[in-house]
Amino acid sequence: MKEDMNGRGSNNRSAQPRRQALRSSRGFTLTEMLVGSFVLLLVAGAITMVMSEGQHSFQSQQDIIEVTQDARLALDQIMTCIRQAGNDPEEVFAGQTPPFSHLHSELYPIEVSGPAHIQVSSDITGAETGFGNTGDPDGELNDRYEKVQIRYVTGADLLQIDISNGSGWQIMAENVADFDFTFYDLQGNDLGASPDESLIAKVAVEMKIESERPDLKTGKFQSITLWSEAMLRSQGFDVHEEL
Amino acid sequence: MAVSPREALLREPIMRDERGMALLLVMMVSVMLGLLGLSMAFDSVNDMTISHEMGNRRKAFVAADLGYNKYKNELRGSQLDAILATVTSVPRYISYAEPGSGTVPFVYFSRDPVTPMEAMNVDFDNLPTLIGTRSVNGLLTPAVGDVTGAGGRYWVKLSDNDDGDSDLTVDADGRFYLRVLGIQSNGAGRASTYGGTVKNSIAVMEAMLERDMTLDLSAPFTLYGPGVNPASGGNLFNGNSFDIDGYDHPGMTLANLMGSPPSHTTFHSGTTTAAIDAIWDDSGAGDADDLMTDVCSDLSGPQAANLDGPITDPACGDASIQDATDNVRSDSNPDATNIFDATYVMTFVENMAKVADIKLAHGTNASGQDFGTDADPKVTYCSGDCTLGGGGSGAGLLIARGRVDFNATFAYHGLIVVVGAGEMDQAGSNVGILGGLFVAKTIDNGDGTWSYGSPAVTVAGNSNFYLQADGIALGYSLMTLKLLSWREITREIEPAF
Repeated sequence: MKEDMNGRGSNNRSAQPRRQALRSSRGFTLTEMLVGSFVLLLVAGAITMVMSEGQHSFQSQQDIIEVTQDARLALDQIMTCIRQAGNDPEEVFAGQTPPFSHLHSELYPIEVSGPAHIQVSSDITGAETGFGNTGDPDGELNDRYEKVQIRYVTGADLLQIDISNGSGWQIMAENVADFDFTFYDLQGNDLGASPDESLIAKVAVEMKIESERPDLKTGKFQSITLWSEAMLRSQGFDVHEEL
Repeated sequence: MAVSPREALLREPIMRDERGMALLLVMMVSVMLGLLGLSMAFDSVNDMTISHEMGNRRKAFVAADLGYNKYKNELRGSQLDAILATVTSVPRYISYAEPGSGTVPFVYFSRDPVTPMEAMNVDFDNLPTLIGTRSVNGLLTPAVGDVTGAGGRYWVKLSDNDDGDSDLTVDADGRFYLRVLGIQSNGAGRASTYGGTVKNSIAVMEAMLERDMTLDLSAPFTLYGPGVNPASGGNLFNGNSFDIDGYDHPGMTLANLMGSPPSHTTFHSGTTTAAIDAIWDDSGAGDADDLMTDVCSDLSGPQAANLDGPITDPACGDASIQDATDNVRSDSNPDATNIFDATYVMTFVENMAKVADIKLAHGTNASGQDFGTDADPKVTYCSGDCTLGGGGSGAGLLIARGRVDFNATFAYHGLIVVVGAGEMDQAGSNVGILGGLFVAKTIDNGDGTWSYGSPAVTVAGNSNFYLQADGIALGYSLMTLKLLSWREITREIEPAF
């Protein structure tokens, strides 16, 4: 029995002519190489185009997903603040007796400081001074998250928050192309851009966000609009809300 | 001739087989495509996980909100102390250190129906091995929560606030916490950006609620105003068959009122109440002096004795009547003085109209109709003038915003509030009321506020009013709970343990 170079035994005699034929091959001709290279280029080009298209599409989607997630988190935080606005079991807000405090309050749960700029006041914690001012409401508005400012910086396309912890303005979301608050009273009437703050019972937020980069194919930014609204539950407006 | 190692290598058959280049190229392209695909897939899975978590966080909030709304409503009419004293054994599936009793963290820990740690880490659809139990007071849901749908679940717990009595199973001020924990399962085996071990998204909300005790009356018959006028005819009281009894009647029922008694006097209890409380918040004018005079001057002959109770007034022929204005001012009940504010009372009435079980339109003549039972008390709201009688009965809270005429036979167990026109006429009827009655005339000032005027009443026939504190409580416990505080509980605002 013969053994091949790998030491494997073989009884296949018909393999001999094929090996000889292969040994006689001296490679490709120039023409074959040119044709082969051309075909390879065509295939590679086609693959690159398909991949590039897919990559652009994926990247574009990735961009919008990332800014959308940031925006959703920001929206969630804003809605939480609004739901808790005016929380006041210790009656910090002057002259009020919940749940009718909004009628007589001097310090309003939501104060409108300018276009797309509000301050949300709420006594939600602070009683446990030995535990970092955590715990139940303490009758003061000097703990973090108790005087929250939210504003939209138009030119910079930024949504910012100040949670009154001494850190100043923090970025909540970037690439915000448009942002608006809408204020409603208990009957659902739109209170306009300069609302009577004593009547605010519900706040709606609409924000339009754009992808960080323009789509390479179209050159346009992708955008998505998020919307949510919440009742000021702490003010006794304890009804079902849109989520 | 010597052969170089390279040539030797080239002469190896396998190295001269150029067809392998195609395989190599395909493999390289495949690896590149594969890596790119993996990268995309990884990013996509990561995005999906984040989106999934955000969605589940929202679902957990909705589950908690569902529990909050359901049980807040169900607390109306319930006995809070009985709930606070009820202990449930809540199963424990994971080990954790409890904060020491009496410590600050324990106060907050004890409000949790189930610990957030368990809520996050236990697959409640495929429960792990039980390792013990935890005793929880005031749990309103089953120990394993109420299921809201696929993967959603919530727990609700009632807790007493620090009301100064050092007893977290007895409420002293009508205030309590309702804490709700909602979860949404992240799904079996689903990875989480929190580290892959969190099985559920959770949301925790806490409300401080108050049972409004403004109408926790102390008499079976309370009149509010600068004076009082007859509702029919020329007198407040007609005949000598009526009975206004200021002794408390604990244990007496609607059936006792309607059937063949033991005599109501066998239920007598208490020593500090009067048959009629006259109230008018005007200390400069002697408070309810004029109202007292109106009542006393109308009592003729033996009628004074029909106003029976522990407290009597010699100046009123020993009738059981008192000016209760100062009592209201000094009442330990923090809501008591709300009764001085007609706007507050009318806001309460308008709120109750929204949640009334039975609504009667102005002009209704409800003959023989039932308005709740002791076992199933109702809120009944009459938007104007109503006539009740004809063998009807009821239990709970009855609010009339106009004039109420009782005719024939009518029995009620609970609290009756007559405002608006503030007129109540029981002329010639056979009426039994066990609990308390409040009559006041309220005047719309046209600017969103209200003020009081003089009510009008006529009591005649075989009309009986028996004080029962439990009956009054039965009525006001049906009021909408007042929301004092609503917070979403997060790790940042809860003392850690």
